[in-house]
Amino acid sequence: MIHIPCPWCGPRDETEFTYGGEAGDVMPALDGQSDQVAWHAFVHLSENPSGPVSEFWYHGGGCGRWLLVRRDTASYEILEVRDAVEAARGPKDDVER
Amino acid sequence: MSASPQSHRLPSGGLIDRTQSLSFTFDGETYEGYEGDTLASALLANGVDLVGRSFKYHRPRGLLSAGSEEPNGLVRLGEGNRARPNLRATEIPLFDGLVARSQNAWPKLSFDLGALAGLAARYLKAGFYYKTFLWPAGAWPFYEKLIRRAAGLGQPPCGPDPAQHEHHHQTCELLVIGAGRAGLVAALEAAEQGRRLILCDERAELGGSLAWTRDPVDGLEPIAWWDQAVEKLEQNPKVTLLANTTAFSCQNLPLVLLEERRPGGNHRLWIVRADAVVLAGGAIERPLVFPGNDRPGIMLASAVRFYIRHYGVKPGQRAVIVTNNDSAYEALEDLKSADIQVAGLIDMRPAEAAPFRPDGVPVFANYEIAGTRGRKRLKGLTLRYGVDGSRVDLDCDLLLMSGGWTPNLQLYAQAGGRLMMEPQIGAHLPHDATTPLAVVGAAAGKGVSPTAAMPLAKGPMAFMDFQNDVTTDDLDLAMAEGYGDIEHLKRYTTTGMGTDQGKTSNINALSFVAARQGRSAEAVGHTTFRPPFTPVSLGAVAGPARGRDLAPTRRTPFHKANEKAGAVFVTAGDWLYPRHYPHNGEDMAAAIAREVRNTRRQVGVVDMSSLGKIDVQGPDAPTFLERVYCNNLANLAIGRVRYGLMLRADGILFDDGTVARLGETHFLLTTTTARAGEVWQHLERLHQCHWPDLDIRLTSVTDAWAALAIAGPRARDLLTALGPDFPVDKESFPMASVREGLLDGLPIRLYRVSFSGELGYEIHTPAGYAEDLWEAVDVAGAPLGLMPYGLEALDVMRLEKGHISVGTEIDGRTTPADLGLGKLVSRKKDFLGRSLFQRPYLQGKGRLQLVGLQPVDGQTVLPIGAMITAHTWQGTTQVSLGYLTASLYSPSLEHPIALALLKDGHDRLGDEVWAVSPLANQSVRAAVVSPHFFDPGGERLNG
Repeated sequence: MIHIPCPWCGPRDETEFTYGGEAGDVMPALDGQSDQVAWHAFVHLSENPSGPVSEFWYHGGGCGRWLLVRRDTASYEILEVRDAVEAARGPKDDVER
Repeated sequence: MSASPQSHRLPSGGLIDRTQSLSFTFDGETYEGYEGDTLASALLANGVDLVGRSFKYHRPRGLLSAGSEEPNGLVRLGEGNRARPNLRATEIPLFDGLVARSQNAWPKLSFDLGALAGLAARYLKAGFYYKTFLWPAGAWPFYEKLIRRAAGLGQPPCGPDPAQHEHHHQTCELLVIGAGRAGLVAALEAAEQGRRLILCDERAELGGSLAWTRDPVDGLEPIAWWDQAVEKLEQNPKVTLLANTTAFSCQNLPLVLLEERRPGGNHRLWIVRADAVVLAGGAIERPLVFPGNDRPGIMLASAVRFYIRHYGVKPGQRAVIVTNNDSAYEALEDLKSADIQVAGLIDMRPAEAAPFRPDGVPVFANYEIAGTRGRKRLKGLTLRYGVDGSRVDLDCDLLLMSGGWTPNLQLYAQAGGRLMMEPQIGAHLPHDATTPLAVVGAAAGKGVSPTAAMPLAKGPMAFMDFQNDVTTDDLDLAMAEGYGDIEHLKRYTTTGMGTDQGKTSNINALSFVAARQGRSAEAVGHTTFRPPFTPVSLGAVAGPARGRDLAPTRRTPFHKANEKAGAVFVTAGDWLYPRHYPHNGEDMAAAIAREVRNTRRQVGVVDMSSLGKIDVQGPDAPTFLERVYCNNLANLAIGRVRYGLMLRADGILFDDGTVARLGETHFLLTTTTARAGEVWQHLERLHQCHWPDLDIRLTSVTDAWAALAIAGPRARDLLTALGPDFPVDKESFPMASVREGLLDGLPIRLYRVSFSGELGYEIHTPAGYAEDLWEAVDVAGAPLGLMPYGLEALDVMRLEKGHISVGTEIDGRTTPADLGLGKLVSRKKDFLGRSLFQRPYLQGKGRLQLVGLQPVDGQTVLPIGAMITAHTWQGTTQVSLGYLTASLYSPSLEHPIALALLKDGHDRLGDEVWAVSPLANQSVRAAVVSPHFFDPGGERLNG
């Protein structure tokens, strides 16, 4: 069982979180333009590496935030944890939150 | 057993408390032991040689060891539902009133019919269950039952476990596993540095081999040093000492799992996060492999020393020692102190290897054991001289054997540490300098006696693995049949399997295989070490999370009102929900039928509080909802509510519910009860992970609002009688309206929606007003014939209307088109799931589509879960055309109806098919009809 250092709640047991899969490709835009191939890749394809990978984890037993977790699947080491919104917006917008 | 009370207890010595006499029973016989005994030592003290029968051949077995590696002494402890099978007698602290039974024997241990299997030994070789009993074809299931009954390792209790198990989460700066000398030293050092630490040991007493070794520590006698060390640690408030506690998993460091076995069979699972872990697991002595090496009375040399020194037990009268290393020579002094005669010391090595020449003991250098005698207890040995093969006979009732020492590195290997074969000791040592955990003491090979590599004896019944009855012949046979890899050998012969996982057998087996294959032991490798180190009770793993405590019980704000109304509750997900409200003497079917009829004819009220409710606010709320629902919402006006369908990104239907617009930028969503949590998570994910720029706020308000629905022809009369502060007539408050206001003075949100297909309203009120609202509805409804209805009646009415439900029709495979809702899917906008919903696979022919079914005879309820086929079922294979999702008798239509997912069903209306259930042995002819059975035009709804 891994420990995830939540940026809002501190280090917590994995049982407080829900795994949300790999944070691989960016979701295709809902602009009527994206094709099935792009959506297929987004929904069905993942890297599943033995080593570092970025994943989404939902802290349902804590702050209710989705987190972007960089984790080594071979060593279970947590390399980086960021709030998903911060990660998506980039560091400049942190102030707003 | 004819032994007199504690006949084999030494007159003095040992660490037991001889003033505290304890009574216990083993296989129904009553014995006495002392405080500080284990069940094993107490049995030995009473001269009980025979503790079990072996797994396959049912050979009589005695105790081999004194520790957790014990392969033979497995017992069932306790009675009734408290009983626990397969516990090691060597690890069970004796207590007054202990009840234990042997396993694998019938009718009794001393006369076991299963021992006949021993006569059939030549048919029970490695892999026998893969080869024999295969004739005649199809008979295996019959043989399997017999074999499983005969085999089996213990029997679990049948009823619920009355013990109280618990989980305990703990952090520490250092966890020391093993409280022998090395572990105590590590703990003392860390304690002096002021570190917060846990020291655990699987045994009831800390100290490990300090109890029976003689080397002084820091100039003190081992036991004196031990007392001092334990006292120091006990007085340190930063130190937690855990006896009877096994660290069984280091797989996910820094998380370590410990099982603490507490009095009364109550277990505590420690979930420990340690900044650092020190493994001081010591080493296990290996048996020697020779023909007949499994008779009661043949024990590990260290175990004999342990029983003499720690427990004051005399395990035999006349002993022989056999060894391939120096460590067993130290037993001579212990045997002498216990007044046990030594008939000989067999050193398998050449004469010059002996560390010293013992006084008055015949030494047989360069000898090996050719065979043993004695049925239920060892009576003697035959030795064979290594030079000329000449033989010598020795009489003895106790054989101490030492085949070298195996450092306990299972937990190190679990943590990902690599092992390296060290030929000097004939066992593995830690390979890496940078290890996931620090290994100290004998576990790291410190002080472990160098061992001569010995050709392993060949002959019948030379046991490699005692617990699984695997002999050298079995390994040879498996290798001859092509199972050369050590992992294959383990699985084919079962060596290293079972509750001991080969603690005493793995190294011997791989050395034997290496010798036979002419390879190095390093090249042979080793099997993978996985948790648990020793078996863990499932109760400890489950902890308090069982039965009703497995998940929280959710009660709606109307729970007390429902109780008062006479509801029978049912567990639905986490919810405790009213199932029906029986009147005097009514059975469930009658109550459901009455509730349905009353709702359809007058008016009913139902608790809807468990619906998921999500409040969405913000300037971008319309954009957000347009993206997450597949139907059009752009033109939803303020004060209106609309049915909404949500797809997953892959185009499959995820959930249905309502979207109500309370203001320009304020929406309230409802979700199904079943998916409330998932939908909430899904929406939060979309917002946070993918569309963070949308300016919205989502709030889950499921628990904040109580909700009830009133439905039936008189629903508006009831509503009017309740005195709303706004007009609710047909024109002012038409179908699909929503507004906030007061009802009988209570703040409410009123929806005109219907799940039952009747004129209906949902009334939401803040949870705190729930009971007032119920009371008001109850009073106002009484003159109108109001009756509450439960989950079952609700389900009947939704089925009569052909409304879909999560889990039956929304099953993770169907799309809106499959369920006849294709026209709701917007073609004007993009939304989550649109792209993949258009996949040819989801759009083409051959989809399972929602239809209604009616029995052709008009009266047989179609079997629940039935398959749909073209022909009646005749016991032969048929192509499935689909299956039933719901089936019941409709009180409104007065005939049975069903919903089904039928291949290309939308094109098959009017066809006849068969609903077949081989399980119920039932085939019913059914007509394919529209799923909208009742009031298909919706006149009642819009009334």
